[in-house]
Amino acid sequence: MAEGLIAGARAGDAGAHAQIYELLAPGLFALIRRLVGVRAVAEDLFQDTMMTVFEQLDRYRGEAPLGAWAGQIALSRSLMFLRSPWHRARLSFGSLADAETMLPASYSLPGPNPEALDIERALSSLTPTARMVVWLYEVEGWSHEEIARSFGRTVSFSKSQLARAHQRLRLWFEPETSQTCNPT
Amino acid sequence: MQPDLKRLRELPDAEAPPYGYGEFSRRYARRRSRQAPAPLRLMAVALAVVVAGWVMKHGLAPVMTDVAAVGPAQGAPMAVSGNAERWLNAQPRSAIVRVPTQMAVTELEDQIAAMDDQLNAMRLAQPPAQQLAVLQQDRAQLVESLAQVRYAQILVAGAQ
Repeated sequence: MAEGLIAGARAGDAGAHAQIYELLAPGLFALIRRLVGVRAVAEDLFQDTMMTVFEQLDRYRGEAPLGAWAGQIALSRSLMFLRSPWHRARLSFGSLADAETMLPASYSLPGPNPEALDIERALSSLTPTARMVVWLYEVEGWSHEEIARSFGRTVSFSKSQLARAHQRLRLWFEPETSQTCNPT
Repeated sequence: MQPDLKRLRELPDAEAPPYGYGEFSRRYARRRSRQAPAPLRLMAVALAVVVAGWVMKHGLAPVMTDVAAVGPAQGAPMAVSGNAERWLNAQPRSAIVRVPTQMAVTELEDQIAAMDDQLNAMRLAQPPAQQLAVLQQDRAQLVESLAQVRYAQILVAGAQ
């Protein structure tokens, strides 16, 4: 991202803010929506994240791409949200009320495809905490120690969440072979 | 065997944001200008603390008193939990029929797993027996709630 654009945004130039918003918003919203699941919650967190990005732009040192720096803010906001019992309740009741809101409304690129939607649905079958642990471990490459620290829990918490998430995802992707018996 | 989670990294990393920069700016300005008077803010904080305390104490378990046919409701917490756990173990694994119902089950299972984790950590630290008993009681309540939800699931499955 051009230095001039960032400098303009730091100086309070609304045009530069708009351009940065257009560049960062699709990636940040995709990440947050996938982590928290419920779209209404994701919109709130997205607003918080973008506000923080602009408010803390002075602290950005350019050591990583701006998108990656903003992504860390999004992760941090989402984690803070999940750690709060009050917010977790809202997330849980929201997901119970309408699980379909977890699915993306639309993709900008490369467009919806059945396989991506299937993975999205599988992710949405996990609890918010398990989904976050899976994402941090499998995609962001965090260690169990880092995940445990970010949740204020033990390493075994992270490991057990991941193991249980794997079990559920296996059940999702291979219901016939994983399911040995059905409720009667 | 683990599911192929490499596919998670191939998910699209962009999605249409919920609104454009104009709406973002409007919301930004509204939030910044929304300064509640101090007494109202204090009342809101107090209310939030009370509600958060209630949520932490009671968890997110759905209350289903009409299906309380699971194990005796009296006796020591561990005994109650033991009965409910034996009953749960005797049931077939929950099928993902409806995501909202399954979310309630998985949320409770997660809370129980987290509670186990906490209990293990506490046992290593050798805390006063009273502290352990409180946690064990909370765990027993969660297990009982899980048994009730699973029982309701089975009733619904049987009625279909």
